[in-house]
Amino acid sequence: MKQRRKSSTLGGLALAASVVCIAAALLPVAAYAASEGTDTTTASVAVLRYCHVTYSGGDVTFEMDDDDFECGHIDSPDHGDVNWITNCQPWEIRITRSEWQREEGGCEEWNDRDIHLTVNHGNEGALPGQQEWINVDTIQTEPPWMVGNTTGSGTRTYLDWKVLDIGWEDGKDGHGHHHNHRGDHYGPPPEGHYSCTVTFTIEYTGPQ
Amino acid sequence: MKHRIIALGLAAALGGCLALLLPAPALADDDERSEPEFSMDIDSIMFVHLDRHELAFNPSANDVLSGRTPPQQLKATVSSNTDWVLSIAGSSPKWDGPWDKPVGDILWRIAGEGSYAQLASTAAEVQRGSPAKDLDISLDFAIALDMAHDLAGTYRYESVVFQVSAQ
Repeated sequence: MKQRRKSSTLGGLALAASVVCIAAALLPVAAYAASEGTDTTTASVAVLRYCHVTYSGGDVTFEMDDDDFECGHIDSPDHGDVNWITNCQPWEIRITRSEWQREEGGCEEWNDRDIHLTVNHGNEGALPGQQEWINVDTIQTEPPWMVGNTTGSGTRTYLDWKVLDIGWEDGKDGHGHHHNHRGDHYGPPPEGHYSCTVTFTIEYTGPQ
Repeated sequence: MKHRIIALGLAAALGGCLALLLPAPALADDDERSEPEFSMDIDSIMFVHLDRHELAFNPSANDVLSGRTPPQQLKATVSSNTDWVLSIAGSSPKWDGPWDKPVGDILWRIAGEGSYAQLASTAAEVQRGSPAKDLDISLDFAIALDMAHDLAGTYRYESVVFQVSAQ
């Protein structure tokens, strides 16, 4: 009886070992599949409205002589270029000036409006119809110097400047009074050196 | 009788011990193997992660005049168990915005290195390398601006795609 018991024990161990081996061989093994990684990002840009205008050509100086007094005005032709760039539409360019400052001369009173500055649209060789003269005043006047509806850059060259009402106008009335072209009774300004600053501005004129 | 039984028992015990001490008999070909073999297939694994998923540019007037926004930096982190290549591409040829701003207005380069390249709808190689874990690659992005075309407004480009793949 004991012998049979021992024999059966040995056989049982051997069987258990083989079962373990078989079980181990059957364990599932993880397999990794091939992959290609991707990731994305988004870009955004907020472009502001931008308008920029520059004038090149330096100071404009009017050197008057007797002939200028006779005809009542003095010209400074082909003097200066205007360049602008904008991403707005529509837009307009206006020109204003500061009040005339008298730097030399006596104490006579005079009126800022006595020196009437004008400018045209420039571009040498432009047709007469394109040579419209614009008042350059201390406040914005109509019409604007330039209006546009296209983005990008632009230029006007060879601007012509003119000062009016500095001498005897053609508008004498029957009483011998001298009038300027606006019908005012101002006479020419007193002797002296006058200067002012001219400013070009470009503005977007569309909906806000 | 008693002595015979005892002798038989001792013999059996000795036989059992001998059986324990004797080497195991050779297994037949179809018997179980005593040294099981483990096997596993691992394919190429790679991924890329970006630290930013939104690049917002707000150019000043001077930036517009200069033709380009200041750069912004983005970091791509690559992990791969095989030789890899990182590429970049745009998802569409145009931006969404006031006009058809081209994808090429998105400029990129390895951070601080050299000149910018224009993003395209086709993939361009950013960098390649050998197996790596969490390798950081920083890139500069800028947006080209053109006063003549870039009307005021907000433009959006979705998406810039980074992809890592096996060489």
